[in-house]
Amino acid sequence: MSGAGASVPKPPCPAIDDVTPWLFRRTLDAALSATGGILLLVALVHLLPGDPLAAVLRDHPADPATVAALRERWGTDLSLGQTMVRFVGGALRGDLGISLSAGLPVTTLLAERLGPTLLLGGLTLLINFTVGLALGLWSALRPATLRAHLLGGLTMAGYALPSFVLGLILVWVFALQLGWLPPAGYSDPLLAPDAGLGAHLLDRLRHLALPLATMVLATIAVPIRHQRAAVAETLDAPWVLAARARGVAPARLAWHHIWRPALTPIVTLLGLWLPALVAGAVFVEAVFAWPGLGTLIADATANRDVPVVIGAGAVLIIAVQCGSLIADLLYRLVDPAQRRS
Amino acid sequence: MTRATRCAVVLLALLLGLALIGPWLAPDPLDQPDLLGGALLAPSAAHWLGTDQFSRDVFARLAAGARISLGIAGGAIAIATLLGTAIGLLAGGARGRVADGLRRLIDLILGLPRLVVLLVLIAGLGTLTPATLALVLGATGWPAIARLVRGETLRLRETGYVEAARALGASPRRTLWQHILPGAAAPALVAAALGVADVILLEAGLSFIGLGIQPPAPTWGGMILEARDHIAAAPWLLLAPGTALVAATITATLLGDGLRRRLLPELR
Repeated sequence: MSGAGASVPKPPCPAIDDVTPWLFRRTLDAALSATGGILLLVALVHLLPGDPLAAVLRDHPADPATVAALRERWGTDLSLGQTMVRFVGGALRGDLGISLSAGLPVTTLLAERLGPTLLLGGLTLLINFTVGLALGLWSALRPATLRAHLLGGLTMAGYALPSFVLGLILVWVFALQLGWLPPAGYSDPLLAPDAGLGAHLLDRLRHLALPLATMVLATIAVPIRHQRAAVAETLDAPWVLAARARGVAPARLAWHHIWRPALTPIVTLLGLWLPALVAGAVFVEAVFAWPGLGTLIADATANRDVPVVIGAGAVLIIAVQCGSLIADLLYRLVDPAQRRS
Repeated sequence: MTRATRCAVVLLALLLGLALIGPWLAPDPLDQPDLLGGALLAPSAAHWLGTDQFSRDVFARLAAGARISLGIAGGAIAIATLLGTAIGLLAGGARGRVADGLRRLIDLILGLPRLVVLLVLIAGLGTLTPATLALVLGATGWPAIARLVRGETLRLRETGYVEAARALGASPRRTLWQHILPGAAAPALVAAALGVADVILLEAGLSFIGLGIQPPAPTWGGMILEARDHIAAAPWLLLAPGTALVAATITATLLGDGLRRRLLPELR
């Protein structure tokens, strides 16, 4: 792609090294926001009236010595300051406490559940920001065709339908009526462990298909609409008219003169939009019993398993902060004007 | 009024009608199963939307669920708007440490995924009543409104008429209440209206993952959760609450857009 533009002199580019102090400051900022947010949640739970151990003690009555030991273990009668110190001290040693319902370290549970969520969320992001942008560009370039109207209707449907309703509709059609795909789960428990890599890969893809389709359909409307609006705006730009007058080929015009400038608003969108992906993950994972962080945090909330809720929440908060950091970095790469500040 | 807004007003009337008079139109009282009729019946003249797995009339539950779901959404938005406007005015009107601290708090909460904060609050609280759920949804919704009101307050503070009021000797409190609040109220109302759809979806989603108002109380999200287990035998169980939910969110979004066009015409 860049080979075609070799004859055009490149505009002078600011030195790369001026990004380092900015990146340092921005990373520190993200780390402070994430830490502040997580500590705010720890403080909130502490200040709320309920006793997380009450449910455990109701189901399993224990003698006073055991109760005291349990309270000591989960630190339920510490003051706010002690709770914060205990949490920070543990977190620095990689210890987020012990699950109230599973009895396992929170970090063990998180490690188990992180992979499936990253797989589903990462693929959703990838598809949204490749297929979504391509569809947005295409529908802005030829706005009046039947296919573009169809696409508009489809994205509106994804916009209006809650993800969990959409997921159940897909389950009904593709798993129950047509029988093409499994209705839920992460892998087939009956598949032999020695079935070979190909069989396992196919099995994972089959289980991934419906949750991924639900996530993408529920969220892709946003990048399509934004890209479409941004492209529609650059279509009227004077440099596009000039390029067209010079006789630049349509494909090159779309790629070089229209798409690059229209990318800037999309990159900012990426950062703003990650929290929505978290909500999608929780609800869509619930529909498909996907063993990720979303189902973990939902089950833990139902069990009032506060250490796990805080731990999984912390991972999601850190993921969102990392995402917005990456988005800001991309923004500087895409928009040269940003590099000067 | 555009055609879309008129559609939304009609939809709103239908939804409010469902919530207000729907329970009287249903053949059976709420939660009284039609044992003679049977479970998982398809829609018919006797049961307009069929019956669920406990032989309960789906229409009666849909109408009762409308009261709960729309009531919670209304309460949550009222709380978020009041809190957000008050804190936003204070953050924009105050100077020094208070203004700085409030701005930081608003940005800190807005950086957190709302659902995570909600789940932490629910885990801490335990069981939820409709009132506490509205409170929790309102308590996580105010920062967006507060940020908007704060920005508007900062802008209005520098305008000529506010400066004139200050020059005539109006106290800071009077300036905020009499001169800035009326100007900042319009964007706050628009933000509140546009936030209604989010709250409806969050409430339904929480019920769907079993964390909202607990059964047997009827909620749209809870009905969708129950429909899930019988989706092969009775797919229409998903249709009624799903359609109601979509209608409610579309109505809220269109009305919010209409309100924005009316109140903030410069933002078009």
